[in-house]
Amino acid sequence: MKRSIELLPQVSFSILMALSLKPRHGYEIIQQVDTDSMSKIRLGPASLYVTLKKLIDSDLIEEVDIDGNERRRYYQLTDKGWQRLHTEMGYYTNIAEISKSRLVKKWSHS
Amino acid sequence: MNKHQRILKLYAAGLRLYPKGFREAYGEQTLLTARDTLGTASTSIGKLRVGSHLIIDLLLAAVIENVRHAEENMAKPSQKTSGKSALAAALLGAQIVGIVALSYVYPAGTLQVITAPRAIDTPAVVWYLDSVMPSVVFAVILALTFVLLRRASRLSLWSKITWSYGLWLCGAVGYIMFGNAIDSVVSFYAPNGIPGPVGVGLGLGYDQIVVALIFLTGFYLVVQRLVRLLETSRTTVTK
Repeated sequence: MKRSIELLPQVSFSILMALSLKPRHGYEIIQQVDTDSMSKIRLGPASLYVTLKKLIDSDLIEEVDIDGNERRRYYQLTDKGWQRLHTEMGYYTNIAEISKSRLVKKWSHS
Repeated sequence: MNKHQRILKLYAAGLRLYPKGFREAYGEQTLLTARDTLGTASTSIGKLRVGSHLIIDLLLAAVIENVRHAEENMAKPSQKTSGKSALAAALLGAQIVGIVALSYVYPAGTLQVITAPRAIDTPAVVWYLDSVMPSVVFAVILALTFVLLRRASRLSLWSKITWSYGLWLCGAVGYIMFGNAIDSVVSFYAPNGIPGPVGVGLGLGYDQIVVALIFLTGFYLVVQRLVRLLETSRTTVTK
């Protein structure tokens, strides 16, 4: 039986996406999310850490030690986080394909 | 102190709006990231724009985090606390609920426990004091209660609420048994009250309905808490 999952909010999803390249600290995550979303999502530090806390509590990301930088904390995806990102990506890819085919159909008719 | 530092100082002060646990775990990192973000603005107008964005973000996220923190507290199972702090929270929490309810049910000057009967020729100033005194007493007790309840912080929010209701329920029952509020709770007559839409059929006034609702809620919460305590002890035995 297939289990239905609740999709992550856009900000959480964007953070997971930003961490899929490499472990990052707070400000790097903000910059990456800004780039990935073409400046559509502008995260503030407080919103970022409130969301990071939620993701850590959900076991989707974890802190990681990076040599030479003791002051900043870095975060990376956990196995569960990778799995979740994969599931969400599958959903969005499917939605994008359906939307695209419908748009093509509409254009070809008009 | 330049503009940059002033904004960061304001930001650091704003972090106090967050729950203690969050501040301890992420406060420094949040401030560090805010400093980096502010560093991207070079002009005065840019700093002001980024600074205002930071502050708005800080305030909005504080609301979200506090709501989540409260939800987490309520969802927690009852914590084991020392008898002393539990009793303190219970006694003091009961006051808050009791005072708010009593202040609503009895407008200033009508609570007979505080306002003694006076002769007709009593000076006006005494009448005035009589009418003001319940509010003053309520306010003082409420302030003390609030201060002392903060000290019993080892209890979860849920525990504080349930213990408060439990004690208020006991206190209120005692209060009624002494005859001060029998009419407002159990009587089906409302000679001085305005019957509410639900109470019209039963002959109840708004005050009776409010007190009845408080009692019912309190009773429900106490029963729920007792059930939870029983479940906890059963789990411990099984283990």
